[in-house]
Amino acid sequence: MDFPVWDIDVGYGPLMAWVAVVHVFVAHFAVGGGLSLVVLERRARRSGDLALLAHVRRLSAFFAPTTLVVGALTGVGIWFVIGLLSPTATGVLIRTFVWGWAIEWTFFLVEILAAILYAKGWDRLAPRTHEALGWVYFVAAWASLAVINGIVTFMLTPGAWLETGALVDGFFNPTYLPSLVMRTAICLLLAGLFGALIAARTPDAKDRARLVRTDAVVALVGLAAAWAAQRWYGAAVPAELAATIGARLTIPARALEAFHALSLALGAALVVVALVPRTGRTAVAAVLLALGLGWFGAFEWWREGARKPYVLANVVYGNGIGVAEVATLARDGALPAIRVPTGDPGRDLFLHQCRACHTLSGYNPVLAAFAGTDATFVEGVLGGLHKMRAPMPPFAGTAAERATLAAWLAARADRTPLAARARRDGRDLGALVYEVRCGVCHVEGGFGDKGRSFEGLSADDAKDLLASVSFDEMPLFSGTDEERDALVAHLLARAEGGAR
Amino acid sequence: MSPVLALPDTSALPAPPWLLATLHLLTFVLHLVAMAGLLGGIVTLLAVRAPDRFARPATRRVLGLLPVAMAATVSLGVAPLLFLQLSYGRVAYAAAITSAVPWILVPLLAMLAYASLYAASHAPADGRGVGVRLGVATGALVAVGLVYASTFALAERPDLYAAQYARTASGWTLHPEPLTWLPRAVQALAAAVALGAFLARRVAYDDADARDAGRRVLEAALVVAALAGLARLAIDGRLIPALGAVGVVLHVLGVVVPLAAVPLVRRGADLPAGAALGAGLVLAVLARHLARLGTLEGVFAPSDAPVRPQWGAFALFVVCLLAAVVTIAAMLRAWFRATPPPNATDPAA
Repeated sequence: MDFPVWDIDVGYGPLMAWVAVVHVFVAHFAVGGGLSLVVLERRARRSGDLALLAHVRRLSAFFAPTTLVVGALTGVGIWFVIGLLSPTATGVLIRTFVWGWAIEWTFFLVEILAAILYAKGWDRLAPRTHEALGWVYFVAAWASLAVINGIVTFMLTPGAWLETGALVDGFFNPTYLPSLVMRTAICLLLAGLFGALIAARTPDAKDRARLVRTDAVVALVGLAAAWAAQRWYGAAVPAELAATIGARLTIPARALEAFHALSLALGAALVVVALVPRTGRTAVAAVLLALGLGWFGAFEWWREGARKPYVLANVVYGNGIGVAEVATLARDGALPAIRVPTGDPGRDLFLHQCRACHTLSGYNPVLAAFAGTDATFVEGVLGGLHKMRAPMPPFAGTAAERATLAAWLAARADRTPLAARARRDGRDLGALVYEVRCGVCHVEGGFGDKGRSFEGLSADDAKDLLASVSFDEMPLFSGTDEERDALVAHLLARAEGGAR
Repeated sequence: MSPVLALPDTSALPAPPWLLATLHLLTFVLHLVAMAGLLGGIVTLLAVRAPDRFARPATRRVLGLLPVAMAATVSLGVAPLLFLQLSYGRVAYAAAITSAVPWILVPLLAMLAYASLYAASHAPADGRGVGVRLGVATGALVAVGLVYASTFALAERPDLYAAQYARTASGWTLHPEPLTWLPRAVQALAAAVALGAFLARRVAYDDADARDAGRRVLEAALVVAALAGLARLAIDGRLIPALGAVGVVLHVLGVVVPLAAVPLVRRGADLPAGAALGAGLVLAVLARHLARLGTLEGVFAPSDAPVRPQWGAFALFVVCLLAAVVTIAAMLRAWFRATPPPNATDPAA
């Protein structure tokens, strides 16, 4: 809690995702494209294939500015964004891996200069020297990927580092190798996709077909290898994290479905282009590239989403609070630990405990979730955050601070009773009350369902149960009498098998 | 999920603060040299007094080097930013968050500048459109310079960013006392332009108009940098106490020594002139470092953090750095030894 919190109505997640996905898309092309350039150049020179050589030259003219301007600067952009959104986690990563980043920087320097000289050197350098520069570029670019891969995978699977604190354990963590294989395959895929885009502009139809087919085959190989490596990657994610995907985490589950669906679509499209290369025109190549972007984005979304509720698994929660800090903050209070306060305790607690994932009423809003409820309910929810269906960090503060945050949130939420807001009554109202007051922890027919607890109870018994069940992680029912009656009707109907 | 309770300590610095400061300052100087070449190159080109100023071989040579200078500026800027975050993360992130919107615009502005420079260097041979593209790049780069100056000046004033944050957490603000950071930005930008003009003049060695433009830009920029540097001592009441006696001497020398380049360049003594400009840069960076430590004294110091050195990883970094230097030297050697083939035997040519 050393830092202020940037409070805008934009979600941190989407902001990070946009910068990161664009960066990784171009950065992986920067690696695979480098390999593609130098291999194709060698092949063209050996076979005296002038059309292929001209294609490689056109590709290199596109390659250097794209990777240097967009790739390098979105990479710098990631630094700028993560420092704003997750300064604590960024600090932990930098202190742990600074020499990794410094080593990566040395590769980066070589890579940048080699890319510039390669692109400019077609008319100046002897073919052998030119190709050598291409190889230097590719080796430096891949080495850079191999280093960053260690840091990125650490965030999901720190592995034995959690016990030893040894740099090597953190770097060569359980997902390091599958991720490296997968990302190398992705480099190949993107080299093929970008290559097809350039090849599609080849003037001669015969040459165009030949070049497009080559790039489509390269992309297919990359796609197949990446898909297989993702299965390996998924299997290397620790069971405790993997188990939450689907049951508690819907985003990574959907992202994985999208990844598989897009794998299929992209694969099918590439097969068609490889078999019927005259279809490989610029528009088709652009669509393939867009599919590739979506495919890559789905993979990254799965990887990022699988970490919840952490930003660094088992080390720092998504809200920037260290796992090891929670007990201290619960004992001594969060407010005294906030180094740069706004002066409004409720707001400070919201910013430091919730804002990383939620806004008040914009992206992923909390006020909408609390509309029609009350401070008692909000306080109860805050007490059981870590028990919710969607994994959340626990509230890290004292009971008094929890009450302060609850009152602050409740005062801003719409207090119109649910019956009046939704214009429902009877069991319809009960279903809504369940959704608002119970559903975040007890999904009907799913996670944490307690419906069977009401089997055989009378309405009065059920009301007594609602009035008596309360502990730190479960709020006492605090709705209106009408809401309680409707909820009881709904619960009893469900318990009797009355599915709606 | 079962969080591990006895987690490794992540608060320790991975090297002694002196080593981190040394690496920070060394890489920062390299970054500034590249940035100077970039800014000075652009301004010199814009200052050439000739109708065909963007169509001459010498100016095209400078123009072609601008994207390279931009790439070098970005690449060499990564390391000092890394070491700065490591040593001063607590105050640097806090200031960046307080000025989040302008801060996050920096990569976008840099991308705009980069793209403009590429477009300028690939402009038609008659130079049409180059002036506008260079103008866009200049605007974007100056904006980056202003955001940097504001943010890093704010990082030295936790009292100010705390007060600013209490007023608004939206991130739409710069340093609230422009008289303290604007002269600093002007000094840094002008000094960079001066050094860059000197370098551009060397690149355009065979063009009298370009050399004249370089000299004029160098002289004007040095005067502006000197005035801004001295004005800072008068305007910013915190600067002299923060610098201390040694720092004030370094600061004044950093302002005065580069002025020696004016007569030296006029006499054609480029080597000593370059040395004066280089010495001025190093002195200014050292003074800047002392000013930061002095301003933050009692509030924050990198040396307050515990240290747990990772010597093995550091040694690997040194090895990689040496390998990179050797590789870069080899690549440049191959480049400068090669000449364009008189009759293109290379089918790609």
